Amino acid sequence: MVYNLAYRLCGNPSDAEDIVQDTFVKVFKSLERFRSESDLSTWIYRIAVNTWKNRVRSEKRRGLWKMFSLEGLSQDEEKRAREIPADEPAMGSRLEEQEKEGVLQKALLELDAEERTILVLRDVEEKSYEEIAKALELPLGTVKSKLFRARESLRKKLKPILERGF
Amino acid sequence: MRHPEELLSAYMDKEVSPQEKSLVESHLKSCSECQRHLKELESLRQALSSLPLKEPSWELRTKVLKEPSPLSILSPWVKGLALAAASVTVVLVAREQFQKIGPAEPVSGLRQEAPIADFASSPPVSKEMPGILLGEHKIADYSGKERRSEVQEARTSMEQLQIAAQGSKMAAGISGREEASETAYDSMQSRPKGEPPRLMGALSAKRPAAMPQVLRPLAQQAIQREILEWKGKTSGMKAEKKEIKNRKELQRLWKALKRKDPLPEIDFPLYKVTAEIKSDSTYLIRAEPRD
Repeated sequence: MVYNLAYRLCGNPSDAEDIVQDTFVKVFKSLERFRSESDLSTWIYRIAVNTWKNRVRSEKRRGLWKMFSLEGLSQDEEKRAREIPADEPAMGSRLEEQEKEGVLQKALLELDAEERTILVLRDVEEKSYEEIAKALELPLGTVKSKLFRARESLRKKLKPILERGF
Repeated sequence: MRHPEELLSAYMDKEVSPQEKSLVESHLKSCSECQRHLKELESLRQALSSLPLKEPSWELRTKVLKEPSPLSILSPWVKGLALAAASVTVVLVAREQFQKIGPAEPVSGLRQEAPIADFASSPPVSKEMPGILLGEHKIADYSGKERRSEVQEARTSMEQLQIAAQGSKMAAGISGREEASETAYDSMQSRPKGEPPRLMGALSAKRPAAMPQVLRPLAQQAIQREILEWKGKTSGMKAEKKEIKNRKELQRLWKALKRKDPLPEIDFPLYKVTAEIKSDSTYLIRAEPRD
């Protein structure tokens, strides 16, 4: 759950592992502050997302974060993403599963951090709008509009593929 | 014509008001552009939701579970409980040794000898509970005449498992895949019908949310011997047998079979799940520990 979320947010396994580890250190440390009014999973999602955002911020400051470039992808996915850019789908009828994953992950990494988080929570983790709003401490309307923007952005980017059917 | 583009995304997720819904639907009837737009959004959502589930490495799972020093993260209450559980173990081991050489005593005396942890408040373990084994010992009830030492061991394991399972809810957050612990825990606690056999959602503030890690291996030993099965009747599905490899596949199957009970959480790296649709329209889903 947390690892999958972290992976989709940062796009590579080693950063995802760091995020999960940091998340759980925080979870263990602040467990006594957890209140039952929010669901435990929502609370952990919130910590994971904040851990990721803080990491992006601090690494950006140090010029290390690569999330907006292809280098943020794992080597295989990078190779695939280069071979099949989202706007120039490969010849042939349907993209293979791995290629599809590479293309989608690349497109996700090009989204703004908040939009990416909302989209991943909704369409990958299958959380409801309400759960997302609680996890990210955002108004429901903001979740709705950011989700709309994220989807539109991805839809435009992947239009040639979507028209053929993923 | 103004296209209700902003509403299409929420409409697809069924997160619109009744007025918005009728507005979108009446527009869709006459607008092929929006129909295409909606189709693309659906295709995008489908693609994202079928992305393969990424699993953390075993190294990470172990590392995260070892992260806090067991007693440093426990509240005083849980610390007491953990120590109490340890005391019970010591008492029982000593008792077993004593029984080998000394006169037998009624098992019911056990609770008086372990007053620190009031396990009497735990629900009794029923003999009718399906196929749960702790080590080599089937869980048994104290009310019977059984006085064999394995009964006591099973009870002790059970108590430890209960404590461990409470803590493992927290640990399960690592990927949601540790939830098999909960399955074992829940089935032993006679989980009410309809309550999902999952770890995260079932947590309540009344339960201590921490775990003495020293107890975890015991819990895992018990869990790894568990086999879960779901049976039922279906229609319109062709006869086949296949392995279910991840939660998403299981979720799809659950929907296809129209099962009303909540989706169980299964630790796929640890459990092999097979689904068999038989020619007589019955099906069997079986989760068993991998070799």
